Amino acid sequence: MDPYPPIDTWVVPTGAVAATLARVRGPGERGVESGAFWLGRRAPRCIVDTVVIPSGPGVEERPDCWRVAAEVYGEISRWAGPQGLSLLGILHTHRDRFPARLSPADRTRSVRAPGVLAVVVGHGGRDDDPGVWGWYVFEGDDYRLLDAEERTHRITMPDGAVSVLRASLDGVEEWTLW
Amino acid sequence: MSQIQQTQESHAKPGAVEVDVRYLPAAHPFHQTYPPETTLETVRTAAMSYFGVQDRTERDTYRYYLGFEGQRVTDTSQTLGGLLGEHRQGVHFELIEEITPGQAG
Repeated sequence: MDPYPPIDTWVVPTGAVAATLARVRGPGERGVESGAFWLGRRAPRCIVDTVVIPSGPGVEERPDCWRVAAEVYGEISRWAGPQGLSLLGILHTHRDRFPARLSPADRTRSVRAPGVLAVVVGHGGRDDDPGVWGWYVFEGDDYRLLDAEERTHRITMPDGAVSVLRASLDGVEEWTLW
Repeated sequence: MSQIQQTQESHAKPGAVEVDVRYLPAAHPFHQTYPPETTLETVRTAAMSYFGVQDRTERDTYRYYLGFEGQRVTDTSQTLGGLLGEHRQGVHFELIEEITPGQAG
């Protein structure tokens, strides 16, 4: 059984976008990078229904990088498995003056599994138009930038709510952002 | 089927351990049944192969470890039977990637 069934389209509800931006803008205002994981059931048409926000010890938010310790990532994995959820995408921010594009380090120091999205938001998360974000999909042995046409066909953003969770060394729990 | 094969199978099944290994980006876990004397390194290696990943050192070092009940498995020479005891017949692991950045420049 293929562990990575092909993905044709990703559905990213507006609630996922809103929750993610609400999370990353605070660190962005402090001049550091941050990010979130997008989870859902992997299928030809997969829906991001859960946003997981790593937080606390084991999460580094620095001007030049956002890093999540393996132990925190492991807690997400341990929680997601029984729910039938997989990692569909990783979003992180870049500061002002840095393009919303994957850096060489972003490409290599991230999850490298077929079909996983990598999304980069510029200006510390203040770019609220997903059309100007960098959207990539992992294929072969690298991330590939989705151009506007492909993005339009393969990524939809309907209205809809998602679960928002906080992940830490202590586990995963619901988190209210507002 | 030879008598030897019959004997091996009849000995293997009663203590067999059902192993699941999950990897967060994947849709399906790695699933295999092992005799209890199987080392955790054997499980880790088979799971990595199934998920198409491998330990490697480029500029950075990439290492995959097994997580068990929220703890990192550090001794992969240990056997399934040694980890689980006599009576447990199934186990879930997580396969977790750890990236150690190399020196810049």
